[in-house]
Amino acid sequence: MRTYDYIVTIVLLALGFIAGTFAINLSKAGFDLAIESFDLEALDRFHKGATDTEQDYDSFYKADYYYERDPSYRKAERIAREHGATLDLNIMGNSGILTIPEWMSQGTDTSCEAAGRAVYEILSVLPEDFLIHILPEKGGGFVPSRRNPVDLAWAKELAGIGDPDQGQYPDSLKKLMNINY
Amino acid sequence: MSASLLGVLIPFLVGIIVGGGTAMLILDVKEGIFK
Repeated sequence: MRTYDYIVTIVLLALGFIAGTFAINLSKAGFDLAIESFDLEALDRFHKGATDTEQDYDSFYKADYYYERDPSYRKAERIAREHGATLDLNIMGNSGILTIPEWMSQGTDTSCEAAGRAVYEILSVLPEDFLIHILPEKGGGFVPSRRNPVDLAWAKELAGIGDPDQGQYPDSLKKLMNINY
Repeated sequence: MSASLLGVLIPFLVGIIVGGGTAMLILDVKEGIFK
């Protein structure tokens, strides 16, 4: 292979790299434009059942894209998985169903706290006013919360997470548990 | 397909794949997906 061939190969690699980067950035920019065109107020009206116009109905489907884009929803699902539970989010209704493993629905203090902690961590990354319905994996049975669905404040109560100033959990543990006080 | 054509296409395609992959990775990190 001549030196000339090496040079041409490197130039082609560089050109390909630039073309690839450009293409991805262009598609991202197009996607962002599509997201910005969402009529979020129309989406909100749709949630509340205030209207059923075609425009609001359109936003309903666009929300699928919104879901794909917002890492907080995916983060919430990942947190659920880390706790051995499954989270089904209904972002149209600002709610979700958390299917908890059997051991969390046994009614002991530990299991209630564990479920509460899972819900608390999930709600911490979701938009405000989200509610999580807790369902036991095996169906029926005991739900580790007197209030179901659970909101952020009650999840905190259920998790037994007191005033952080009291130092119930050391900072290292809080970091480990990924809790943002 | 002639060897010279392959010599042009292969480096260019490898460049596109590597460049596109890098761009996607950078965008994902910027969006905080790996946090």
